[in-house]
Amino acid sequence: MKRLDCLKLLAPMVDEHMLTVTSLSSNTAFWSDLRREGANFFGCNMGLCIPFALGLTAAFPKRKVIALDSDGSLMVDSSSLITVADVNPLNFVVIVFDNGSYARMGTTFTTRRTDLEKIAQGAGIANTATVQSEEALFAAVQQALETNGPHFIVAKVEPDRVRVKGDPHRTYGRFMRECFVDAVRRHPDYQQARK
Amino acid sequence: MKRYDCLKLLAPMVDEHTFAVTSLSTNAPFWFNVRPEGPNFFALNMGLCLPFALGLTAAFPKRKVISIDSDGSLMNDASSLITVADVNPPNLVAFVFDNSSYAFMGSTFTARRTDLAKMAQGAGIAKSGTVKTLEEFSAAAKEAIESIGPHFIVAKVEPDAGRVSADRSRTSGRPMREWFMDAVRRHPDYQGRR
Repeated sequence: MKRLDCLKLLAPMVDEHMLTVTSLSSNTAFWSDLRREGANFFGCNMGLCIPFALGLTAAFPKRKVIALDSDGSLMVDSSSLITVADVNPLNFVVIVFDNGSYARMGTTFTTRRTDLEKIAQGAGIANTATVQSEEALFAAVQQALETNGPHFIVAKVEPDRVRVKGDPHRTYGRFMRECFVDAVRRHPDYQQARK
Repeated sequence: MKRYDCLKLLAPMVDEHTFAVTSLSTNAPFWFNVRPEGPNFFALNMGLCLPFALGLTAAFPKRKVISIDSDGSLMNDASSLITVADVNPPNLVAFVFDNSSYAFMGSTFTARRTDLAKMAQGAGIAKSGTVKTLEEFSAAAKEAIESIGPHFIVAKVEPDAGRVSADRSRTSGRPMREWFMDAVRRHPDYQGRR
């Protein structure tokens, strides 16, 4: 299973008012091509994708928030799973693309002993799944989007052979953040801060 | 089950050349009271107890290293379990005294949904379990100290009533570190400069 194919499958399932957060590198590049509009925060640094998305679940409790994380990033701060389990946000869908490798730095722990789904279960997240095929991913995501969460889905994908670069303006730095904040301000659920 | 009773049981199982590393707060004074001598490093900051012990396992591969951690501290850096599983040190025995509370700050996640032993299994530590009585604790600790690890033992204990103090010059700060370094330098396995 390839990450890009998974994300292509995922893009039409995500409606315009859902919020998405991606980890660095491939997730950002792929997702920024597939979902150009809507509230997307791209390229959260390692370990920060799930915590950032968790914050959004509290800010937009009526919308699904989708974290597109990856194995290397999640394992920088797997304690965040404990926080997710404890906050128990109903509108949260975490999809971890586990390619068993850091971008160019060799394999990660998941190729050896570590089972991310089991860690999430141990942390206390009840709805978890590991999927190995696109059909299984589709079914798991559909179920996750239709039911109360939090949901934690590990998608086992091949290491990405080519390095893809998204448009750096839209996926990185201040301009990306401004696009995100604009999208949040235009969001029908946005409650403007009052002084 | 009380933490102090567990540590009193544990102390006689630990020989003089075994390393012990403790987390902050209650573990440090209790362990100092039951094992004042030997290579002890006390009161590592939250999240650092298990990683520090992991380093010692590499430096002293022929000796057991005992990590005496607590739930609040471990959950500060649960990723350290993944590193432990991956390094797979045969000489590490990790205890977590889970009283489901931060010292004075209310309950922790383990009082609700989180199961630390299951997280450790997910991380890849096969020998991982939870004990709830002193008999179970004693049996699990004995087995762990005598067999090949890494071992991960969660001991469910009551919240500690009252705060215990010990000689602070031996359980924190620079004097403690100097005691520790002295003990390391006197250790028969020590390979560094004398």
